[in-house]
Amino acid sequence: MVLDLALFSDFAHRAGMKGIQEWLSFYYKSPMAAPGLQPEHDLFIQQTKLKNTLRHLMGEEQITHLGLEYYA
Amino acid sequence: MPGSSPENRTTPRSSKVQPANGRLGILTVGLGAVATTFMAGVESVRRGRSKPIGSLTQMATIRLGKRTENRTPLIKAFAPLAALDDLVFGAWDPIADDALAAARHAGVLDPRDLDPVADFLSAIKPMPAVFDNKYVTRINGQNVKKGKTRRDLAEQLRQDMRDFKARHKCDRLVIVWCASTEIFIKAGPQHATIEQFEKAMERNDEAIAPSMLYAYAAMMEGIPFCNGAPNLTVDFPAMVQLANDRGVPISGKDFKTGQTWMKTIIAPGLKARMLGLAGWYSTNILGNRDGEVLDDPASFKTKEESKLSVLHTILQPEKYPDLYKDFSHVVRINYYPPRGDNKEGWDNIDIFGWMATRCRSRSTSSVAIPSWPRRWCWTWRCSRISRTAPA
Repeated sequence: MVLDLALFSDFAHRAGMKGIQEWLSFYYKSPMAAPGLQPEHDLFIQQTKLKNTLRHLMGEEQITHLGLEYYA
Repeated sequence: MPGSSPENRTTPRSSKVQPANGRLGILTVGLGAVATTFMAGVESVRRGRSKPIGSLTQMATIRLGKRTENRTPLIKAFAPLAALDDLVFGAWDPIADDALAAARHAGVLDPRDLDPVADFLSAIKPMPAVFDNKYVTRINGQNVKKGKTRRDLAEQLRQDMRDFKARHKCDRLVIVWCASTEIFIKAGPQHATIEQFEKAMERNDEAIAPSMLYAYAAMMEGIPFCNGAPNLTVDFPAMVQLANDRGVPISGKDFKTGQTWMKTIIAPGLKARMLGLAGWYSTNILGNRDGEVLDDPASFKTKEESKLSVLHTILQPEKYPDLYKDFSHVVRINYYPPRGDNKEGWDNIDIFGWMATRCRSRSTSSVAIPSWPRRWCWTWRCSRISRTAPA
């Protein structure tokens, strides 16, 4: 956990991110969030947010899990 | 900050991620059970003696594009993360023990885990810490900085960071708080703006806790900061502003390891199926310095606030009063010396379902330290204990 946080925080810094890194809520009991925002505690939403943030920072599409295109 | 959170941006950022060239120094505040287990583990992986189990950056994959594309690289192959071989470790601690002595004292890892990396650990010696008994009452350390004001102390920490970076030829640094829980502090006017915060440091205001000085020093040096304890540390307006001004990522609070981690798995599962919760009782025994610190009611209050908020936020009793109104959530932490840092937690969960049928679940876990539990034991007993809806 310490390793992941250190590596992701360093990555975020190199990606030009600053301030509260809500996408790292996955690792925290009381996640920090912007004023007025309810923190997200659900581990699975946190995981989706973490992976989507990585996709976003690397210029990949977000994954919504809608998947209707497979049945068109 | 509202409006700038990642999910609000729909187009990829134009700025490219800078490559992870050179060495990354990871400085931990605290060289106790958490920090030494982390360092020993990384070195053990580097020497090919173990696998980085429990680490997303090392083991997890990420799906890209459509399911038919079959693109699921490892996260570390997809995002330019620092390589394990490029990591260098350092720490501050009020107790002068090197990482090997501290790891032995913690008792989380066995000699058979520690012996093969003993030479590596014994070379990691903690820098003198900014430490004040008032904020962590049960620890007495001699490896402590002296300074006239809190500002002086923060400047000394900045110098430590610069010195470490130069001495170990690091390209970048990251700081992770792995130290004890401080006493409960609410953000006050001293924490409202950067100016007020700096003035409070200069006049040695007691509202400025040691952890905040580490965070301040890190921000001023442009070093990302992760807060593994429930202390305020970086979670107040002045520090968030400073992080934004200086372009530094911050995150917190309080590592989610054993018991709370399980709560954030089980509670969404119950809620997803619209099952009710009558009560959740959690108790922990732990025996080392962390336990001793948490035996102090003021430090426990900080921890308790952190642990209690989780279920409420997930279950939203205000939206689902029939399911979650007035559920009883009790968290206990007991100092029990024979356990050392090998914590154990027990949970009892009282659930109710269709026609208010009660169900009880019990679990025990050896929690927290190697980041993921060592053993879990679950019992689920669903029975018609009571057919009446809980009060």
